[in-house]
Amino acid sequence: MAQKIISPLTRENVPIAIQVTVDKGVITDAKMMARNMRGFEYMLKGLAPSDAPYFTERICGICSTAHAVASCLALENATSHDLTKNGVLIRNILFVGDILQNHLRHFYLLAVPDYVDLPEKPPWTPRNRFPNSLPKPVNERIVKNYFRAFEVSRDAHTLTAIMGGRAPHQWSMQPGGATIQPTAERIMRAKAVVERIKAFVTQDYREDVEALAEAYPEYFEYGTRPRNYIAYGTLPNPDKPHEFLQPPQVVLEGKVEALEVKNITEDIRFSWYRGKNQVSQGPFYAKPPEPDRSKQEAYSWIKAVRYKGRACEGGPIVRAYLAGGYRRTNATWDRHLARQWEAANYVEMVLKWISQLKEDEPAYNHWETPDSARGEGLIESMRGPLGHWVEIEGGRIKNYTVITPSVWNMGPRAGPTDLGTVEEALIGTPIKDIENPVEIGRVIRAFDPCSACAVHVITPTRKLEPIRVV
Amino acid sequence: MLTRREFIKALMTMAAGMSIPAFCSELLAEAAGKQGRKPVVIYLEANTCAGDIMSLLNAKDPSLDRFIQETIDLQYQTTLMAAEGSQAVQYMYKSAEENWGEYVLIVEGAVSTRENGKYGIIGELADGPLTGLQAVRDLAQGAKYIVPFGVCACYGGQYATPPNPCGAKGVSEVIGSKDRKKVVNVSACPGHPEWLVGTLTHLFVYGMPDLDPHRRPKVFNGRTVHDLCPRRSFFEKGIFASKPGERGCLYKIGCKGPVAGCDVPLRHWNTFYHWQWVIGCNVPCIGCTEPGYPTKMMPFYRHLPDIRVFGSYTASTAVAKAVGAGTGLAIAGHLGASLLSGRVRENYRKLKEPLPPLPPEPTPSADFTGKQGPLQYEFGDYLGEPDLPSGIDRVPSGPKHPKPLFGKKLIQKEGPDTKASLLARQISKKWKD
Repeated sequence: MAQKIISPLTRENVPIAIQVTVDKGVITDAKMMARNMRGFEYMLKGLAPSDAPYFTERICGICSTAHAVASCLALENATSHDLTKNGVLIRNILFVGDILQNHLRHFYLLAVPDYVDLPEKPPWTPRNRFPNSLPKPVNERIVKNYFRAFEVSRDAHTLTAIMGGRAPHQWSMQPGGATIQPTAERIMRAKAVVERIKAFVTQDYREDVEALAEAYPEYFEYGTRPRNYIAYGTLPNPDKPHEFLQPPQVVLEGKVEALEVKNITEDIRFSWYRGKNQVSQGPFYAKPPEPDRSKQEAYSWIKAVRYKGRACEGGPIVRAYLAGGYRRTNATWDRHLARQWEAANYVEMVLKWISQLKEDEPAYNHWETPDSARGEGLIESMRGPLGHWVEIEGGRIKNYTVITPSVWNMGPRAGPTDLGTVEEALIGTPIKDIENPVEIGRVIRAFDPCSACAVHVITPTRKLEPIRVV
Repeated sequence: MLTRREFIKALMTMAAGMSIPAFCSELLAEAAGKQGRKPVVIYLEANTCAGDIMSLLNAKDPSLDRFIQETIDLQYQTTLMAAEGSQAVQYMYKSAEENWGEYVLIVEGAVSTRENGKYGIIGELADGPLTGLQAVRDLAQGAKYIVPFGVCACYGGQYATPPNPCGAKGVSEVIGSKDRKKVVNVSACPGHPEWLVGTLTHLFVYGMPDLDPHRRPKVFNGRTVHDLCPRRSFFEKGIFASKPGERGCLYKIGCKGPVAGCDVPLRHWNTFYHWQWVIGCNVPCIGCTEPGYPTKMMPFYRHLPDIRVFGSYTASTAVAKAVGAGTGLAIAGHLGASLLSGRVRENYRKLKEPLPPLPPEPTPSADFTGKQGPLQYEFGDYLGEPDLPSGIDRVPSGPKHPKPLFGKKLIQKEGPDTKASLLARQISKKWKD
């Protein structure tokens, strides 16, 4: 039996740590450890509510737009604010630009180096050594596309910038819509950008995932876990701004049902918070629990979030499953293939939306800060379900809660046998060479992990004990 | 090769449609050819949202892939590198040893200082976790230049918002006084890729650039958004927007342009279309390049009393300190001239109407300190100083000998060999196996 800790687990947004126990060549236990802390929810307390979109988008640099969307939705929900069609369209277009950027960068820049031989120079050396079963021309093609992806993903971000003024950390999305007018120039530029990346997203990306899946077929087995999925609504419908294109749903043991926020719970037993089995229940308008860094058996800043007591997975695989686009199991390649499926679909959708923009209709309906109100903004972001809950009192933020996709996916266990999502997926994965454990990275990176998002809620009240790692 | 003066002039006049990276990479290649090697860069991610590396990935002509393949020698960058775990961290230290005194250290993200950095752990060494604080202090000593990239790395930025739960600080505040002289801040949230490329080029080819009081390159941060704003004429004529989304000067709804040292009105973001920056989207600038951002700039949509053009200009508040009185006086002078010419008389009256009172200051610290009194966060103690922050004394100034003993955590036994050679041997043995 051997124990190994990988820290930093590179090639994901903000390095996270993973500790695995390997017995007879198979992972028998895994712990996802988020060890960077920032405490956004306490910073937000007392701020002007209209600052929240700009403030919360700084939670994560790679999915900043998602936080802006969720924050705007929460504020608009608080006052039952109406949006114009142009406003929803612009927000959807700039959000999809960010999603495409994320999917491309995730697959090529973060996941591909686990499977192919890249140039033998830093930053691509040193690396884990593994037998590469790709034919040489295919390897060359994927490496070529790896470098092309730098440019294509930049173009996808340009789409966000055309509508949002900047990427990452856009400007124009505000509670009330978008503060820009869709001029002819913007529409033409946006269309040109999407046309430019369309071929890469729909063809090259697909071919590369399939070629890798063919070369490493065992990853159609590794990484599977029970089919417990969760998805909030996927993008607001431009024609009916208060509805989503795909409604919020959960899949429990393979059975689809509508989502109810009150079934979401957060457990802190294995997280660095004071209290033993303190469970909070949605909707989350309460103060977060106090931190306790010296807590025995806790190992992460992330809380264990559950839906009806089950660890649920979020992300493209869930949306593809609910939309009927991709319904195989949830192994490593399934996650990648579903992500590509989704990216190709978004390209088509965004082209349609761009053509629906009207130059002479307003996109912004000014939002006024209420004196006191509560609102929730739930949206499917790149990585899965993202929820913002805001409570306003006296024109200032009283409580602000964020539950990100990575809390769902990267969270710790809630009990000795009630493991977190990634932990479930890792257990049972064979490790050929404990010194070069490529399997761990391959399985985790299929989830598109991001610990920047996940840890946002703590604040210290007393001295910390030194961290001990097994 | 261009002279330094020509280079600076080119950078400053380069506007929409032109690309700094294209121009710089040639200069860099030329310099690298003369020196016989590419400039070594170690890019450290401390407590960050990864927004700065995402922004850097948006660099154009050449894009970042060509830049790291052809122009610089990028040794460590956690978002792009293939290595993971202790292999990666050990390589970072080994690379620093080999290029001691030569490499440029780029730091992204704030440095978590609370409880000696335990709130920001970036890796694992043989005897325990490696904190971001430790890594920054170690690597800063051997760096030729230190380039904090993004406002968090420069001044603490977003994560230093009160109550500053992780004790976020800028790089300059946690390193020794000697090392502080090597710092060139490339601020903004996120950092602008062209500023970073331009700054690196200046460092490699011409050495240290001219710096402003906050140690930012004057070439990029020497002029304010207000100075360069294409809506300046609206300001002078007194045409003000009353809510976001309107054309007109956004000064009255909280634009921090007068205090933001930043050439983004010329530079724009993401491939240079003319509306791709904050004012182009009809929302007020939030001053993300400045020390004290975002605390001193919030509420974003409120006109801050300390940068009011008319009336008295007090230097007592932190914003005023951050700004420096010069900017305010310049604005006042300019507006006064406009006023004399009669252009703003009508709107002057409107502007003189009292602003709605600010809500009471938030007291977030009360919530988690309970009755134990206010939490102590050291924020803004660097504001108003002409040079870099004080309060560094609690940081050890570093070992006396020229090279600190890197990797002492990795090495178990003492011997006649230097620790560096032991470390190198240990690492190379591991890789051979």
